[in-house]
Amino acid sequence: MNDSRVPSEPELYDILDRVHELDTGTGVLHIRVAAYWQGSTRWTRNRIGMCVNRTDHYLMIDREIAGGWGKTVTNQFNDRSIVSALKYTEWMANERRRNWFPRDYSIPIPEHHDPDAIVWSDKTLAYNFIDAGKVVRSICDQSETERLMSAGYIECTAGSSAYSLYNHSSNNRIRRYVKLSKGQCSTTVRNPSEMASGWAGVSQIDFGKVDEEAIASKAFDKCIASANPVRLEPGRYTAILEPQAVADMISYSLFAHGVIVSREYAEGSPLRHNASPFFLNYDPVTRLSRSKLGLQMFDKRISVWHDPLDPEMGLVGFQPDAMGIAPIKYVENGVLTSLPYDAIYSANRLEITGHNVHRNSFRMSGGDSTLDEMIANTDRGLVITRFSGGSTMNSSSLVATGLTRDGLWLIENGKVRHAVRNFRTLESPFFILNQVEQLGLPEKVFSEHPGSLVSPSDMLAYQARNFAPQFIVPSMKVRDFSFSTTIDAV
Amino acid sequence: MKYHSWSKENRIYIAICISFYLITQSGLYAQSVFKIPGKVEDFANYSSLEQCHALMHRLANREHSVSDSLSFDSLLSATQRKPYLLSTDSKESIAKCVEKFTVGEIIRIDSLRAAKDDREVFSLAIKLFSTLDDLNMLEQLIDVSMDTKDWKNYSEISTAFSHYLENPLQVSPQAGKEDSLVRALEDKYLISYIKNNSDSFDLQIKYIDILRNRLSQKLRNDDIASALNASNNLLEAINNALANPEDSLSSDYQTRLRRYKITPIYLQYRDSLLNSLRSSGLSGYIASLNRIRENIGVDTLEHNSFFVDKMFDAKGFIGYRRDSTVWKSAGSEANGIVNDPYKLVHPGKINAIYFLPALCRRIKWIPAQKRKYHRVNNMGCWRSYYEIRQMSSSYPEIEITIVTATVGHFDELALPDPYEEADLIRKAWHEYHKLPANILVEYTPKINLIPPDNRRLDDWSESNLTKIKEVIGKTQNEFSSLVLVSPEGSILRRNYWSIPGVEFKEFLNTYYSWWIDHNKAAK
Repeated sequence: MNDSRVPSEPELYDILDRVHELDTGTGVLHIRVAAYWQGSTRWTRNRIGMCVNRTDHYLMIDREIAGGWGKTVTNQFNDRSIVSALKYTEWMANERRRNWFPRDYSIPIPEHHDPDAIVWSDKTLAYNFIDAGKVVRSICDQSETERLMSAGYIECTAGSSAYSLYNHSSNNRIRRYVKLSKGQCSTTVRNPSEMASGWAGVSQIDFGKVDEEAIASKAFDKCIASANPVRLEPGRYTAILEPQAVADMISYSLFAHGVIVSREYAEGSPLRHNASPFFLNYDPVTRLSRSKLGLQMFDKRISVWHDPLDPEMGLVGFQPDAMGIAPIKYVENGVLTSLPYDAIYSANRLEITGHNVHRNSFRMSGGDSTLDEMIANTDRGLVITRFSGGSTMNSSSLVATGLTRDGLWLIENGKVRHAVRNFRTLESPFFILNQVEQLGLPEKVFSEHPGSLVSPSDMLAYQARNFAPQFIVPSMKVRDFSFSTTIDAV
Repeated sequence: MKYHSWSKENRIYIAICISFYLITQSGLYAQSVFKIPGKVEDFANYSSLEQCHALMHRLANREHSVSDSLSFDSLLSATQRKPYLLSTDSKESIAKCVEKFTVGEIIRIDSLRAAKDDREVFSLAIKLFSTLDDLNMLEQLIDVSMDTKDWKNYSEISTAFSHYLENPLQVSPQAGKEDSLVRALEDKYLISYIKNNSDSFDLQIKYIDILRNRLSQKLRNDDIASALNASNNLLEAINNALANPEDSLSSDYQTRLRRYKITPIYLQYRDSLLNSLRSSGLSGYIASLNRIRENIGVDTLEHNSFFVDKMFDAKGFIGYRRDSTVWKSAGSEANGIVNDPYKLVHPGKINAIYFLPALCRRIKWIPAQKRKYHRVNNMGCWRSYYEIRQMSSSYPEIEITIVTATVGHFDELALPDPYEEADLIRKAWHEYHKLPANILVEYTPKINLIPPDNRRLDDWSESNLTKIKEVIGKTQNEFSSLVLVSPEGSILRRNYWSIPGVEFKEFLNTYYSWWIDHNKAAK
């Protein structure tokens, strides 16, 4: 391995070839090699506390011999380590196959072409913490002059991964290479009494599109505007959700939640059907559970989709079949049109080889209203910056609770009157998406990926859909949003 | 009932009868109510409820019992001396009684048994009881005819029952005689009970069992009566049945009944069958079957019973012999699917025929901790593979055939061309699992749901799986079932869920060793 932070295709293929040359075993061999670089800067109370530049690489070998599996992960790429890893996988696979019968044929993989999806930006790779430190320093200077306290985090990741599938019996080999990058920036600003707070942030594949100073100034404005909040009676109010609040409400509980949108789950056994929000009924004639596919579930202005070739969305990962790369449209004009399913389901039920793989990222259609227009059209309502601490209460209705955070204001007669103490909310995304009054322009928001640090499985091409979830959603004005209790959190 | 035209004397006696009936029900309570006159002692011999009831019945049915030939005094004198009047087993006295159209009560079951060879007397008795609507005696007649193995009387008895029910049964002449009788009994006792108490299936089965046993072997009416009286629900059910005579049972339930009737008989004769098989081989086995058939009254080996099933010709568009050569060429059409009948029975060989589901074609490795609960394992696929290999090595003379059907995919690979799927099945079972068996693949027609659902629905309605389900019983799972077929094509044993129990292995061992010896002797 040379000093390159992101190895090129020939470099990774050389490693794969070397592994194949050193292999003396049998069976079906899956080899994945990945390398990545990650730079991050963190600051709190106007001081930079962490500045990290790290790289790592992995070699993962899976071997299947007659139904037995062996698996090894190593980060040592010398010959001796690779040989021992190969031997170990062979030993483990043979241990597991002991009572099984030899498999001397494999299922043919249909010929197909994988288009090259772009999840890459040179600007993300060009990030360095000297430039980042200068930007952070200017943000901290500004907050000190305004007697505020800022904290934030900037992170950029770039890496590459190669995958090889080799069948010893059929001498059949497939290779794939992919490059990935992502970056994010978020800032929180509070006043010295810690009674006012403002937040802003964004995630991008191309870090060049991230304007740190604009994010910081947005957070400053929100912090200053949210000073001296008043208490308001809980109840149902017209709510104007900023794009981040929309994403917090519907991403991980609905479209980014693989199980919830799974078609197999929605059409599962009658014993567990009520767990899925997309279950319709059980049909005794066909003896099948029916989903809500083809039914109007949302407002007619709502569409939700993902395209692997969309440079803002990212790829969904390599699979040895043709369907992994196809675009998916969950909702079209409010009608539920598609739900993801796995390969077994598609072969068994739909007579299709391949699968409609679930994507974490999605786009949502919007309108042409600006936030100011929405406010001006509102007699009485609330503006919500974002939610935190959300959790789903009921899996069939997806009623979720959460806290409004970092900016909540009361609107009266088309104008923002004053800041409001935060509420706990109790609402379902299905209710929200059926009570839409106005929609704004869709924009990229911050996605808080559970595993912020890169793990080997994140970097592997076949699971790259989990690498960098991207949400592009509009702001939204909805009727009768339920605010259940007031809380003291800022 | 018209009592007003009767004489005063008659009315008194009727009152006495009724009061005595109530006495038997509730002690001496009735005496205080009805003020029975002094002739009570004349009825002392009416010691049972049935007798009193029958007498009442006859009195009420004036035109049959009283008006014609007998005065009420003679009737009374006859019935007073009744219990032992005609117990002398003399045909003449029975005939005399029948001629005079006296009460059926006086013809005891012993007498009838004695007269069982006299067809004329017997038919006369049937006629008498059917016109008298005396159900109790008709049942006794059934018992007697069972005992005498005189199946020609069955149609008459069935007619009698239908007359009794005022709902003539449509007994087709082609149907088995036993079946018509069984249906009559079911109609009588069980229709409404079963329909109204569908949740207490065990109890229903208990009653059916009683009837079966009585029909087959046991002739003890006391047992039946006690069992029937064990549940008040049954009495209610009979009342309901009489009030609402339903048309027929559902076909599903009838199948369950048919399935059930096999078991006790089979268990009863299992040991003797196995012994006969040990001693004299298949001929002895068949001879034993014939004897049992005569005993239980199954007069044909062709109808839906345990001993008599013939293996059917399966449908299949392509078959592979155990050496992977094509068993029989596919249909004449180039790309069409022709479901020709295949003979599953290889003449001159013992045949073991497995029915394996499509799930068994999944070849993915299942983790050890999940293997116990995995559906593929629970279907018994891997166990079946093991059995097939074991059976082939232990009994090399057995011809094993696996019957399966296309489902449009293999593992995770969709296969719209069924010939490709069949070839992959052959590869998996012959080359991967090394199964020494013939493979027969049937084409499964399918439809797709309307978009955007688009799901595939398989049509199993006329498949081999449906056929085997008819053979092994509807309550059994058609998947992973195994049947053992004789060289002549008769199904000798079957097991469910592909679990060869002790009984199956015992039979297989015995039968197989006999068969080998028999072939050696023949050579």
